[in-house]
Amino acid sequence: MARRDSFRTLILVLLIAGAVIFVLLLAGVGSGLLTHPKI
Amino acid sequence: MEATVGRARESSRRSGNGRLIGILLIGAAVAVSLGVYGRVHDPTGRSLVTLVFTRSINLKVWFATIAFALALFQLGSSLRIYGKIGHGRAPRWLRPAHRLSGTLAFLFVIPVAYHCLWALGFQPHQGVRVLAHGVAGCFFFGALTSKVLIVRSRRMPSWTLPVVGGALFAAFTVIWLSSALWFFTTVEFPGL
Repeated sequence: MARRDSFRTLILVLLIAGAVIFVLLLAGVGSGLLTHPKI
Repeated sequence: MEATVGRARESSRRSGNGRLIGILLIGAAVAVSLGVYGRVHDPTGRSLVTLVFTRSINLKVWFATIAFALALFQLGSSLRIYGKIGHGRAPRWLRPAHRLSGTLAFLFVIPVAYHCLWALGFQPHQGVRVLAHGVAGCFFFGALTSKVLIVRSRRMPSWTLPVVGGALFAAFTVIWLSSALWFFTTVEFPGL
């Protein structure tokens, strides 16, 4: 039971972290880490 | 006693419907927000870090393809969990595998969608393929938001999860067909 709960928490943390990172990237925060100057 | 139980069920059903409408509105807000962002934001024209790939576009099509493979697993595993394919009960590992594959697909999609929105923007006048790709992309993130919220909500109508999950898979299929498959068939394959 505890193992299942921790797995669900891990999934939730990953989803929230991904969403937060996505929004921050779109806002231009830390975009330099992922992008090069020109296509 | 029966009347009390009936009233409680009716109240629960209404509460679930109200929550579902709220969740769908949140998903719609996410989809519209991304579309507006892509339209009003000036595309930066920057490329992604390419990792082991030669160019950003190659990284994007392969990340999208990995995510699409995971989405196919999502489809198959959900059909098995709902008992639409196979015999007997689904194996116990399938539910966590379903959740993990969905989360991984989301993580693979983030840099791809980020580059599309940040560097290219929403382009409605570049032909049907690009328009369909942009619309499906915005819809996808709205549907994804709704699906995650529905999974974690109680007392939802039983049809909601399969319908929203199906819409999510359909949108991602359009996205993959209009980007990665188009790239593989008209530009280069494997294009690493």
